[in-house]
Amino acid sequence: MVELNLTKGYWLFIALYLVVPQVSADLKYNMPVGVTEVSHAVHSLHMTIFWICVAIAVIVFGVMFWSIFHHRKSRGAKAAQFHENTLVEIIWTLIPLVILVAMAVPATATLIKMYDTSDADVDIQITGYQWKWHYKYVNDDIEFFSTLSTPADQIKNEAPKDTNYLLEVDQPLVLPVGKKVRFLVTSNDVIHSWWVPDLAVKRDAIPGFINEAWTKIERSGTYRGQCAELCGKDHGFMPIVVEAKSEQEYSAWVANKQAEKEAAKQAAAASATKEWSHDELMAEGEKVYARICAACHQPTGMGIPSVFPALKGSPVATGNVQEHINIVLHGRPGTAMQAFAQQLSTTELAAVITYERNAWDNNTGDTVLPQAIQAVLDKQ
Amino acid sequence: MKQMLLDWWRIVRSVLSAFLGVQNEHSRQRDFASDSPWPFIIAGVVLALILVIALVLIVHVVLASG
Ligand code: HEC
Ligand SMILES: [Cu+2]
Repeated sequence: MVELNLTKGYWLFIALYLVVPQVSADLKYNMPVGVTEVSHAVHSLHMTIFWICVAIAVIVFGVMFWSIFHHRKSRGAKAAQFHENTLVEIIWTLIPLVILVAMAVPATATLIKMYDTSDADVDIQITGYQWKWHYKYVNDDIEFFSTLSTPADQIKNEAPKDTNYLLEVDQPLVLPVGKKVRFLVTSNDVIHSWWVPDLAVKRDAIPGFINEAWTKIERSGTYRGQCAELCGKDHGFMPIVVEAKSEQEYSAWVANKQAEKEAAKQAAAASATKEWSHDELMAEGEKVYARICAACHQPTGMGIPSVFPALKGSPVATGNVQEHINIVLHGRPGTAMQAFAQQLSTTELAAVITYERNAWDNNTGDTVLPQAIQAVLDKQ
Repeated sequence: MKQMLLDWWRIVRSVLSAFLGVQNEHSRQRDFASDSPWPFIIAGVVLALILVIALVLIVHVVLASG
């Protein structure tokens, strides 16, 4: 009776070993096959090594369980008492060595492919920020920030969550299909990691270093990823969205982006000469604050004690205006407080500074005009 | 002369066994009966250098052909 149960359990175990990986290989738990030559190579390498591991497990555990079962004490088995066996030891050392070397062959071929960033058609500089990504199309003179666009009420559980919850951005990285794109990955503050599983690209973004990676997407579509290096409070809120477009669509997008940039320049020039009223700046500033600053300084202006200073009643936000402008334009080097001079327009900067000086009972009554910001920028 | 070569071959074999991590008791007894550890140390350093150089060469060859 006992013997029967044991035999059954043993076969069940072996069956599970064989079936579970077979099933899970096709499920979402496995690595994606992806849409690039490299991602196919990575996936097949992963599966090859996985099956080698399965084979080793079946053989090793098979022999082990068989030995335990067939040489059990109740059958009168006696333990062997030999001390050393050089031949067996050499065999069990050499076999893993040979297996490892054999696995290194396809792994090396894949790695060499992954690191070959030569002859790229498009260069994109990717910079990690706390907590967003900046993309710069080096050849086309386009650059923009890409920030999370999942609405706050979904994050606070006040609304049902979308399918792409926390995987949605305001401006995706748009790439051409069938072209070799080289990524130059770096960071502005702490270490981040740019990771898009479908492209099989995951590269650390390290301040002061430029790491290279590349991709050549085979199919148009939307591919999502995330920051893969714990980078502080909003690490989970800086997703990556890649939109792969056909070559024509991509060229049209580039032309459109460049036109947009020209229009923005003119709008900025117009706004710089426009007479902004205090209330207009406050309204605009509130929006900028919620979009950019509230992640750290909090919507209440209270910050997070000992991490992000409160702006409500802050000596800077209620003190010297010039000092306030300086810190927002140039940041505080070595802290999470970034330089916003390049990230925001003069109008946005003027608006958000005006807002900080008057919101949350700061009530300084000050109005900071875009011209004042422009004056500081011109001095450099 | 022949004896010396044989001795060196024995030392190289012992060092290679140490690289692999497997040695039999008989050879171990014999090695520990030697007068000086220096031949083993020298052979160990030289073979480690050869191993490193061999790895560097393999990487060069693989990268050149890849
Ligand atoms: C990534 C987090 C982060 C974001 C986003 C951020 N700040 Fe800061 N801010 C900080 C930190 C950290 C400090 C404190 C720096 C230090 O240690 O001196 C700071 C300091 C300041 C100060 C000085 C406060 C004081 O009393 O010293 C001002 C003013 C300020 N930030 C304004 C802004 C504005 C305006 C924005 C949005 C445009 C913004 N910050 C966005 C992290 C952030
Ligand atoms: Cu990050």
